[in-house]
Amino acid sequence: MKFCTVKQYFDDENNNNVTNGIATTVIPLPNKHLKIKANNKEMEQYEQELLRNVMPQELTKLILAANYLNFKEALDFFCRTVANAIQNKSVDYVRKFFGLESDFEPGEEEKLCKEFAWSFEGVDED
Amino acid sequence: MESTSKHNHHKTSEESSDDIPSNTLLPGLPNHLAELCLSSVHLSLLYKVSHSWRRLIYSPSFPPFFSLYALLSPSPSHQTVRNHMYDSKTNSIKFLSLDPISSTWQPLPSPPPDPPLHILHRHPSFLSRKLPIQMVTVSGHLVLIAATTHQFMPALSRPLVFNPIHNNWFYGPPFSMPRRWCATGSVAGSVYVASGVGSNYSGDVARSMERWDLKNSSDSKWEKKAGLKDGRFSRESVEAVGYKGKLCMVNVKGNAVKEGAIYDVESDRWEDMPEGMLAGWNGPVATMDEMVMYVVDEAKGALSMYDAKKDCWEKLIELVQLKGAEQMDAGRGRVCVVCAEGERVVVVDVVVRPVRHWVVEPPPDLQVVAVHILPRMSQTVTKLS
Repeated sequence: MKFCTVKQYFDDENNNNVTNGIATTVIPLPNKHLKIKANNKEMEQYEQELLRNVMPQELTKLILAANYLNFKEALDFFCRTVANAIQNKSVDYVRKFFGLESDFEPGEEEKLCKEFAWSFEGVDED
Repeated sequence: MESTSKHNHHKTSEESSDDIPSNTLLPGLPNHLAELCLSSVHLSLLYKVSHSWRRLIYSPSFPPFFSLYALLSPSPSHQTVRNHMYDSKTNSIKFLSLDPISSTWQPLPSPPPDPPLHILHRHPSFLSRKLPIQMVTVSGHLVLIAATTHQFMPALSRPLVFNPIHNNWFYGPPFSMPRRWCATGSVAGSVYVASGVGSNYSGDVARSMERWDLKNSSDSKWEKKAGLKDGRFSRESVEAVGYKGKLCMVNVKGNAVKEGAIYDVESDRWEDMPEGMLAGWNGPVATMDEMVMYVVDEAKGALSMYDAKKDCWEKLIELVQLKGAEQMDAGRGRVCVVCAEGERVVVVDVVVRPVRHWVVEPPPDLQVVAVHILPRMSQTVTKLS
């Protein structure tokens, strides 16, 4: 089933934005995933490699490709990679990473800097 | 994409020419895929990046963070209370939820107006005596079980349930016997009501027990379960706790001679409470995910954790602020305790060692009657402050 979707993907005119680079990243992934499914360390290394070599916009394209191909493991992996890339970073870093602008009023931004005293969510951050 | 966003310095969130529309979470991705990426990111980060990221954490489809729900009543010293307290048409009690992410108290939507809900918390002639208002949490829902009307009758003939994800109230199946107070608690997705007093004392009611299994939505009813051997649990309102498949309770609050009882769900039988558990049950008790049991000794202000293997309590912290503990709830690694006649709630992080704590105050002129930890209310308004 995966092969049919891949062929369709290349034939589909709407996807002529996709570079060969994306296809070469996504297509070997099933093999790699099967090979190292039990080996988390290698997956982590692959994730680090991916983050170093791939720009955020390409990461979003990988997500779209994985979604189109209905390849759940790849989709989960790329989404997790995005989450891990921004998890412990500052708000400014996150905005730059995605090219987002702040839509808060200047006064609001200062208020936001105040640390949350407590919450019900996991271990404290920072 | 990077270059176009630089032209947006003066853009408001309503304008969106060829730029990123204001409700896009991540550029280049449809929102449902962006949500997959963001669902594991820390809330405090999501809250601060942009308005659309903030709206996401309140949306019904996003895994919810948890809030502190409180039942509040006006402080007796509050002047207007004396004038309105005996007005049976207005309810002085309030349901509010403290959103720890935005640090704001939000009112819950009003319960359905029909049938009208009349609850008396304090009678003007007996200000020091508080009439019990009993609520239970089960499977992420808040359930109001028993209270007293201004005519000293049971206030509820059916449980009143709040679902925070849908932000709505609904009534459960009718009780076989409405009670003004009872022993009530939840375990394994079911609510139990036992003993207590209806409009008058009755030996049958005092020994009875019934269960409502919320998981069974197609056949919603109260089922009779094994009764108690006597009416010893009918004297006071009793908050029972679910612990490892059993419902545990004591019949008198605080530091007083008391008796305990445990109901085993699987065998539908009552058994005695282990001595060590009973000996340390000197104040409100709550369980975390029905697996870990905590108590606050109201006299000493000591928070302890039950050790089932040794049948004893291990003290975690002793705080002067915890003295006079009246009610508590535990969830998500936090224990929240109502103290000092409802003038404060002490929040303890029991995940870390040593444990950490904070003090939370209710809104002005209100006292906390009880607290419950539940998923936050969903919001679908377009603009959040």
